[in-house]
Amino acid sequence: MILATLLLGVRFVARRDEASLAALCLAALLLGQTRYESLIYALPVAVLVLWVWAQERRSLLTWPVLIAPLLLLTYPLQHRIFELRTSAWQLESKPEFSKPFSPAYAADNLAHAESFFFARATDQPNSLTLSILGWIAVPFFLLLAAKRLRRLRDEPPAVVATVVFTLGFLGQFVLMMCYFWGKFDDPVIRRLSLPTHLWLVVSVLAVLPQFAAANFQRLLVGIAAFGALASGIPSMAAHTYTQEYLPGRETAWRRQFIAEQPRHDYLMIDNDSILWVAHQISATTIMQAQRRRDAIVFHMRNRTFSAVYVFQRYNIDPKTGAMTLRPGDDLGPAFVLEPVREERLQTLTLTRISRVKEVRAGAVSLTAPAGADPVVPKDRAEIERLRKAYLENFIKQLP
Amino acid sequence: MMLLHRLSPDPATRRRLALFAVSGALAVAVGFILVSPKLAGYLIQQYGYFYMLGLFAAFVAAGVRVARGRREVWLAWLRRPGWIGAALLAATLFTLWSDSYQHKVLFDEYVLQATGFHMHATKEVGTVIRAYWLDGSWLPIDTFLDKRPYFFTFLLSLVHDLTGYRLVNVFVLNSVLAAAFLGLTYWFGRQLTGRAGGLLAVALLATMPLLGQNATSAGMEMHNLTMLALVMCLALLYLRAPDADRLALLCLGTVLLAQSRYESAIYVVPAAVIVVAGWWRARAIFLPWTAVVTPLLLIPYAWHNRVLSATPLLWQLGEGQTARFSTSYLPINLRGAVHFLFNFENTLANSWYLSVLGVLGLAWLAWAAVQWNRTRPPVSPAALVALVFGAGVAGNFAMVQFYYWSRLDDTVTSRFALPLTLMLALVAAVAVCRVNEHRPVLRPAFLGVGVFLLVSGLPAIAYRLYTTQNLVMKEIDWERDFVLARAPGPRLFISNKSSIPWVLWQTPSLIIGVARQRGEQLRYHLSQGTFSEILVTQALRPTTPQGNFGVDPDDVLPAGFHLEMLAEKRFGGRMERLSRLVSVDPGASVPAPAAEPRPAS
Repeated sequence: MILATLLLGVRFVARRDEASLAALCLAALLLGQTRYESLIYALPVAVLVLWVWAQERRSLLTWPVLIAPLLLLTYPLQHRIFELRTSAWQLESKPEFSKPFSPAYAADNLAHAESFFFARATDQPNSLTLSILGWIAVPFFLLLAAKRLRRLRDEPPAVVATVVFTLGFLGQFVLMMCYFWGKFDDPVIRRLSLPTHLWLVVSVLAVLPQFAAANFQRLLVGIAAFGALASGIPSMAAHTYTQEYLPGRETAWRRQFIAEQPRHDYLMIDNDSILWVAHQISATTIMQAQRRRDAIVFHMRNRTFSAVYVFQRYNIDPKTGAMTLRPGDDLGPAFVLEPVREERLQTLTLTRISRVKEVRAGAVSLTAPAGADPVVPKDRAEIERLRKAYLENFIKQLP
Repeated sequence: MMLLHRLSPDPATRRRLALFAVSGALAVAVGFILVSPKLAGYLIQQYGYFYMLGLFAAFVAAGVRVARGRREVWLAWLRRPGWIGAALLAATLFTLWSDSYQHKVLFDEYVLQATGFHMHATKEVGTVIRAYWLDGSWLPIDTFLDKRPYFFTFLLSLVHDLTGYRLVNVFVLNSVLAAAFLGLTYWFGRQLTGRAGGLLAVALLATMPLLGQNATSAGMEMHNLTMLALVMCLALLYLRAPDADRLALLCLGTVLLAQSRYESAIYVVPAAVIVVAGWWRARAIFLPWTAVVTPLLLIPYAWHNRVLSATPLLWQLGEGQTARFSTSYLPINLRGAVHFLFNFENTLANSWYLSVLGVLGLAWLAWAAVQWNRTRPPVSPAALVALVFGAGVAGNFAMVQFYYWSRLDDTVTSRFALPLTLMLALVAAVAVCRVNEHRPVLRPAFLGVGVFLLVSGLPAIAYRLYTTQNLVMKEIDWERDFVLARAPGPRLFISNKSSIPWVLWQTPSLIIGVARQRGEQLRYHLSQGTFSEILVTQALRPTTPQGNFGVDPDDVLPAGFHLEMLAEKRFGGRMERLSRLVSVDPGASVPAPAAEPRPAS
């Protein structure tokens, strides 16, 4: 979306017509709804529009432009979720931080960014070639932009749009560096460096024409190809950087379990219940299962599910080898479990799926089958009445 | 004789007209008076296949004769279908994508498949309900004549004949029929309104989930709808340039349409009106031999209908119902129809957009009729065919409203709305195209299709509640999966629902009512090791709101039948139990009732 908006910006600078302006504004609105921080790119779009209007000495106020601010209304409304639920910032995952954004985080985040961009390709999903070329090109590009700012009107549309969009790229990078979880070398955060990578590519492409010598350009292409062959492709083949992300591997492991089940009519108790629900498998969280133990008992007795499983992770003590359940994964002693599949996806963790064999209250099994079948009345109307009463209760008992 | 003279001065034509009258009288006598239902049933079972084969062959031959005269027209289109071809392909693919290939109406679709198999294997019209492996051969030993017309099952048997017997052949056949239906709808719509109108009709129908549901089913609805569209196209071909060949093709097509669904015989009347209109247009009466014998070709339909009327067991009436048709069913059916057509939730397979546009189209039609009445300009052949067949569809719809089980908002009977939706789509296309001549409404109408698809169609298709709520289908799937996971070997399956699905999977099967009476035979075969295991399914019913399930009284086996429970699973408000028959005590059977039980169908 960033690139599409940039290209539409180029088109608007070149054509300066209503259709191009409408497309640019609508693309910027959509970009604002693509990621939280992507609204930053509304700034270069606004600057670009004003710059063109200033050049043309007239403003093109079409309907899409006029209603664009109104169409942005949902963004601040949705943003207020962070006011309603401060947990949405996920600050609890990093107890050492108290604010989501602060300039104080910049120094540490920059060190992590450097560690990410210039790490060995086996350790991080980066491109050393792009990082070196890009970070050399960025200062040159900024100098070039500053130099040409005064006679920007004489520059080709692509250069104008790129110079203005640098505001967005720079703003996004600065924002990330001030974010409490803005460490680019963190497995979860690496993806947030993608717009910066795009900025590096754009900078290289913007600076490259300054070196008119064809041999130099060929040399750069050669370096890029060599970098991809010698570093990028082996790194991608091993993709070691994805193996260290345990939640990702556990998700793949669970998906494999789903694929191997002949029927999807079981219940999974897992704190990541969304994963199962997305695969159209009934799921609930461990806390909910504990709270609604009676409902689980009801459904086990009534054969609602072909089986009831629980997903848990054990952490292994490196010294003693003792296994302890990850906090929040313990179902409690009432649930009698039988392991059906387990694997050490990392050296010090054991991932396990168990079947809930029975639910007990002390020595008494709550899920054991009753004795002889009760006698069903012969009257069909009575059977129907009982069916409706049962279904009503059934809905209430869903865990 | 005076009347004949007035009708035609040509002696040969007068002779044919006289023969046609004799043929009609003979058809009534043989169809409704001279042959008893029992004999009629026997004749259909023994010779129905060959009647259908002859009829279909004659239709194909007549079609080839007519097509040969317009070779350059259809050949050019086939060679260069252009973007219209691409649009029709896209509509077909969307229709087939919108639902999963599975049985939608139980057990009708299994009955059709069993009939198709029997026609393929024996060239007899019958539905297999009992079959066993004997010395390596799969041998059907018990069949019955089903109530359904058998043109669709004949086509299915033909696919089996040509490609080999496979259960999925029925889905292939329905997919091809879906493509043909959309193509025919486009062609007719184009003749009626122009290219845009034809495409609008196709878009309205393809985005209606009901069409996808039936195109991917094993039922005969898609076939009936295709035949209706085909006969309308044949009527238009005839009316545009009336001649003997086109008349013969129309007559044969109409007889085949009558054999596509019970109530489709109603379209004989619109076809007859078009025949007369063609004579009027041509200022001459021509009556090929095919048309003369057409009444006689309808005799098997009459026989089949009388067999059905004489066999109340096939009516599938509910508790307390005594008649198939009654005015007392009308209010509830009409409410169901309105609910279905204008349902804005995702629970039913309707398209409210098609209904709204169709009803607006009908309002426009009424206004246009008033305008037409002032000057009475000539009506185009396409418009006349659409009006006459539209009246036929209205008659069909009205008749269905008096039927005991035809609430359109019942997911099992929503399919009865298909002919009506075809007409609504056509009338909507006509109205939009005519209004578009004065105000630009064509683009908004197409845009509306997209909006409907996004806000209603696709969410409904995503849930497919109208298909997935079929719990009996889920029970059968579960039973099948359970059996497939067990060790292979000869197995007898005692079902509490129907033996037919198991017979189609070539697994010997009995219904539980029969098994209850055949304890001695089961005991004998248990001792002989004929089957590696005998499995039994039973329905369990809750006896309290907490569950406490017990065996449904209809599924209780005598005390001397000893079962070992293997698995249980809940489906809605009842549970399904699968058990293994371990042993049968001597004398454990219960005596057979006066009437032999029939499988659920």
